[in-house]
Amino acid sequence: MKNVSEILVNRILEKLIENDSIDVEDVEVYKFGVETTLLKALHYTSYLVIALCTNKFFEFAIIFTVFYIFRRNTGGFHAKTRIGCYLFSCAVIFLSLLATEINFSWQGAAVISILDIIILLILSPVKNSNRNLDTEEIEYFRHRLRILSVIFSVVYIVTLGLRAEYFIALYTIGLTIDTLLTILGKSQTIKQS
Amino acid sequence: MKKRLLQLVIKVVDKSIQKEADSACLGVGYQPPMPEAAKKFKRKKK
Repeated sequence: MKNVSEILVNRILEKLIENDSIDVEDVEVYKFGVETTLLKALHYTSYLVIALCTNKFFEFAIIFTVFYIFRRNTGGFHAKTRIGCYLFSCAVIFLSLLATEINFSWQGAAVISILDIIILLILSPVKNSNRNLDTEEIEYFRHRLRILSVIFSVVYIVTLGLRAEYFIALYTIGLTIDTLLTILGKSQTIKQS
Repeated sequence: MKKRLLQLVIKVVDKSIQKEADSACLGVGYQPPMPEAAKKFKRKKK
């Protein structure tokens, strides 16, 4: 998969350079940009297929939104290979959609969410060998996570007030996936150092 | 036509670089090594 991805990325870069669309000094950055864009397109398409096949598009939209907003600020686990990360991510999405079949009491979900937030505030952001975070960035993501946690709590309480308990379960699943990946990412970082 | 397509590609990739420079990690999938220049790139685009 690495070779296929590299060939495709290099072909796109060649086209961009040939047409004078990018400066040669920016090639390294654009290589990163093109690769992440292609990876995201592949992942999003696969997740949508999983959501549609399981007939849970609505659940996917809520769970993934919560997960993604937090994940951008917490960092977390990444498999070491492209194919490993792809299979792992698809399995996580599938399992999270399966988890919507579990009957959560709102009290149980609230306790889990509070624990999730506490764990995230303590552990985040998690560094990755391929994404180094400097001191300034660590402080920035921590600050953003604190603000996000407050907004999330307000939305959570309003949803509880509206007695939309199914939404509460979906928020909790999205948040819990991020927490588990953050814990895994932290243990990965500790092992590496 | 081809030029327009390339401009669109550049626009999408630019957004992606800026978004990743503003994230603790790639939200989904494998995290490719992020060059330090990507952070400066974000500043340059501001």
